[in-house]
Amino acid sequence: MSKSEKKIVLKSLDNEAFEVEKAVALQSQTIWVMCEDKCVGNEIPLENVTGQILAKVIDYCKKHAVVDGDGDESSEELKNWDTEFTKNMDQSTLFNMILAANYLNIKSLLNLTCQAVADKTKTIDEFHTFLNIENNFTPEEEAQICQENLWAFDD
Amino acid sequence: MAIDLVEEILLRLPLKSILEFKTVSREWRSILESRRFAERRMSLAKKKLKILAVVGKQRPKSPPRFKGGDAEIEMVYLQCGDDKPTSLTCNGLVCLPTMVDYIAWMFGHGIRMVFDRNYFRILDVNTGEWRKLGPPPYKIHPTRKSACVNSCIYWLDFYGQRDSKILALDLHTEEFRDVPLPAPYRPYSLTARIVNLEDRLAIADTCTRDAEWRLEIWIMADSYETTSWSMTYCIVLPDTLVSLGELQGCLYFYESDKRLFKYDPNTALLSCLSPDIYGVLSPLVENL
Repeated sequence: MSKSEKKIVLKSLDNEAFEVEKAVALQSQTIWVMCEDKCVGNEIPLENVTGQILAKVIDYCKKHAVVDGDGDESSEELKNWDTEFTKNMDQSTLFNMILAANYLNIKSLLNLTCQAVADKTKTIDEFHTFLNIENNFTPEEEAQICQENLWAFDD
Repeated sequence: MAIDLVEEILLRLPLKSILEFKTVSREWRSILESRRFAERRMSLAKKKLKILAVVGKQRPKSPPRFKGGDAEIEMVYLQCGDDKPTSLTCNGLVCLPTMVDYIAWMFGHGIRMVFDRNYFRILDVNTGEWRKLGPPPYKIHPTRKSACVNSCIYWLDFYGQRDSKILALDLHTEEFRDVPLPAPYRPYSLTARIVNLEDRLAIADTCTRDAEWRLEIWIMADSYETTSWSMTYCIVLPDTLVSLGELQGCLYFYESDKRLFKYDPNTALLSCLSPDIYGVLSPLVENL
């Protein structure tokens, strides 16, 4: 196999190109399927992911590809890396990471980012910004649910 | 964001937020109250280490999280006014002294049952019907400690120093039976406990030998036909045992001086985790 075949170019929604090792990119089931189908050349267009988010996804995949490959890092180090990775992301970035992980079908990244949002989110308002949720309860119904789960609302 | 992705996030939220988020919309409420959601959440929660401790009137000063060896353990405190909390937990369901006449169980996937000790009847919460059981061979005192293992409830009963007994109620056949104690018979102290350790029935008792407190733990081999016991652990403790729990292969217990200990069977190391714990110890799974 020639050297060029080991590399793959991922192109983001805003036309940013990233050249990565194939082994790194293939952690995404979506990219895997695209490569299998041979319907794409060396360049894979990812229409749902921005360059800013894709760069982060690639960072994650690089880290995890190395560890799976030669096992020189303990799972604890990897876990610490994951924690640091999501620690300073704001909610908006995390939500976009979830969407990207889902679209690219990278299970472990999806778990990690969902957990990070759950750990950081404390109130419904923090959710409202990203999810268009319409409250379709009547005030009476809402009061009844509050009553049934009283201890959760006591502070 | 698609609703199935939202569900992935909701699954990882603390219980309090989940109850609160029921008010968001009808769609969210139906997700959060579905059995599928409860089951998925339960299987995720089992991967985390949590210990439930029932504490007395005073909340312990120790931090709710600490390192137990290489695992981070989160303590969840339940406060109760009584100084003698009933020590019964099963698959995350806790029985508090206010419910002293009833024992409630959850086992399998969300089948909840309530056993009424005074009238020997079982309430199936799914159907809302009480079923009367055949009378037990002898009356169980309501304050007796019990443990639930593989859908059986076991009580350790003291009939004076020379005659202890274990009574079992099989929740599937709904029949009582006597369980033989470890042979040869030895007198059990009043601090003896009956517990579920790694889904097997165990008796834990402290005794003095060579001027030391020793915690002996006998574990029953889990065959219905023949019952055999073996002494699996013998650990030197600074004081008498109060409560005992097991998490990921390590034993956790606290003694009458209110100190919480961890025992790792692989290294035979006993370490003190917290100096002021009081109450029930149990691996915790929050039920929805």
